Amino acid sequence: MIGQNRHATRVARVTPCGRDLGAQQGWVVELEGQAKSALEIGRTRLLVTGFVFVLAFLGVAGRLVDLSLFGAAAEPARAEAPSAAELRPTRAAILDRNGEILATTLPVASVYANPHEIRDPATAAGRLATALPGLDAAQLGAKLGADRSFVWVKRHVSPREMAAVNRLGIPGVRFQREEKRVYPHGALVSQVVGLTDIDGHGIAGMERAGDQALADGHRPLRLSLDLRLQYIMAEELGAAMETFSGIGAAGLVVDARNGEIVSMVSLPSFDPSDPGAASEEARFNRASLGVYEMGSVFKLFTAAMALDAGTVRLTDGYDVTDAIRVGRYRITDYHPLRGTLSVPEILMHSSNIGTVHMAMDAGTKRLLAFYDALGLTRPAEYELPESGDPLLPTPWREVNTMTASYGHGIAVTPLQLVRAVAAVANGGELPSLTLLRREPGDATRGTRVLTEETSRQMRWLMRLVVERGTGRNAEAPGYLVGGKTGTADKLAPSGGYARNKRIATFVGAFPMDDPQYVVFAMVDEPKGIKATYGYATAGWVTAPVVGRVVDRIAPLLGISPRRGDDEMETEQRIVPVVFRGMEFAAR
Amino acid sequence: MRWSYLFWLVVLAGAAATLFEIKHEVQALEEDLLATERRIRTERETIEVLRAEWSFLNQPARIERLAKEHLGLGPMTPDQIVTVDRLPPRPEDFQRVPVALDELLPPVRPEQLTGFAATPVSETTR
Repeated sequence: MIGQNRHATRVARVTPCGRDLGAQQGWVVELEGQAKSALEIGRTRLLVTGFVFVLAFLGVAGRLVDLSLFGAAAEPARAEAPSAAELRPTRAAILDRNGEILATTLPVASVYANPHEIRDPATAAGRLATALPGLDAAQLGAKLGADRSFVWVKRHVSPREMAAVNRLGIPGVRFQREEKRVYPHGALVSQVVGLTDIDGHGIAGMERAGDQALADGHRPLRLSLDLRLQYIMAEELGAAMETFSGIGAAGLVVDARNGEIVSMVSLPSFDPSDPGAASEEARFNRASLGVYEMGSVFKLFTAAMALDAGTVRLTDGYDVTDAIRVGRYRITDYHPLRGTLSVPEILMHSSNIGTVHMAMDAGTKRLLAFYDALGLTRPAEYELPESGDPLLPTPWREVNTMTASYGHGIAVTPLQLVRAVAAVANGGELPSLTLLRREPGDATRGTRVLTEETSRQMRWLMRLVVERGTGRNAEAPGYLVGGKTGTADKLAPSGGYARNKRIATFVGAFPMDDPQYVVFAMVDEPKGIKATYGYATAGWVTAPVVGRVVDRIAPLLGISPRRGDDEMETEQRIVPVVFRGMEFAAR
Repeated sequence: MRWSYLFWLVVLAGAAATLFEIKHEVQALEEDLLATERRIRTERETIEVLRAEWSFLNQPARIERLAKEHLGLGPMTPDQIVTVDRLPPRPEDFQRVPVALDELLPPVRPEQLTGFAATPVSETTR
């Protein structure tokens, strides 16, 4: 820019003070016109730019001070890698009440290969087959020889197999990290725990009921189930089912006070690690989804209702000599007796006729209201989605009252039955059922359905059935088991009842002086055997199951046996005053 | 003037060296941290796997079989359960003067009684 307009003027080489400026410095460049203005513009621009830079540096300095002096708290102290907790298995575990793992998600490796990188498919396949038992070498060889860049060799291998494959060191064979739901106790709890689909969403049982909590929670789900009780129940039920060639069985142990389900067994069961192989039958939860006519077990409710309403007293009795005829029905007794039976005797001998009289004296309205109060008319509400709808006759006629009084013509789930029996035995309060563990403190009070006094009388009656009645095989010495047998003929496909197909049920509670647990056992279609003289009634099939189960679980539950003098005392305490030291014949 | 330049130069060099040193150290620590976190993760996973394995090995059926095979144990029967207050007295307690009698007799010092252990009565019976 400084071009032809430059004028160089020679000024004095010596400053006025006499200082020599040297050879070149006597010259001063002066600019004029266009050149001068260009320089001015340049200077202004430089100033502006400089100012901007100063501002920017001030900003940086300010930020530096801010960060170093005040900003420390706002920023994380260090560059954070995803913490270990966030990378934990995504789906939470399901535990039993003692913390035993029933279902958990584990990281597993799956072996895959890139066939393009494998030079000799046949050899590689042969070597892989040695490391991964259960693989077919020839099939694998064909897969590895294919013109693809990805084939699965084996999904979900164990750590041991993974190490073996690693040791082979075949190039092109790699691992993919995956997650897998593992059920260490398999078929023992599969009905309750349920299943997840391939994406890890619950599709049955608690996996479905607690899906939300399991999917986003790191906290495991703790069930009320006790694995040890579950095993004992499954073992005893399975043995009974096999002995009597039954087609299925169900068992329950429920806390009589707070409604915790500590054992729920449905046989046959299925292996949750291979749900595809399970039949519909095995997946069906008989204990909570299946509805059955329970038979004589219902006499407990009839008696409780009649005693509570005051339409009959313990000392009253009915003549059971004659069968009752209603239209085309004829109600008879399984073991016909003659004469008058007292209320305790009616239950002890499980007399249909006596029970029907008792129900008719109280009336249809009272019976229905009582069933309603006991929750027998609605599906049982608890966590599992599998809860069966009870079957009641509509419209309800008088004959239905008669048959329902001894458990026919009304079908409920075992779970509903157990809950109702818990109310009858525990002092008259209907508990709400749950599969989740309740803390000792938060026992919710049930709704009152019976008076304390009626419940006390019922406890004695239940004890009598086991002590001297049809349920004698349920006796577990020392534990004061009480209960009621029920043998119901199954409905035949052609209509009416099938004589040779029945359901044997026993529902009991123990210890009867202060019932803690209700135990239920049911075998579907038991067949008589020699050892039982051809009988396949509840007294022979399921009463012994409950007896043995109580015998084995009571020590685990911390219930001390009543022994010696103690037992006598306790027995005496159960017996109502009017019956102490007496026989039970009606007066 | 020159000396102060030199001084600042040294300070600058020192600061730069320290900065690099610290930066290096931080990097090493961060790598350490990542490695540790990775290890924690694998350990946690291993714990999960071992827990599942433990639960699997604790299958009641298996425990029962093992207990029968190796320990000769079976389910507990009511006869095997007794409360402490129902226990008979210990043989060494037979010689002791009964409490009721004790009250009738003139007071004696404990060491004068035969067979009386040094331990107080309440501890021997309960």
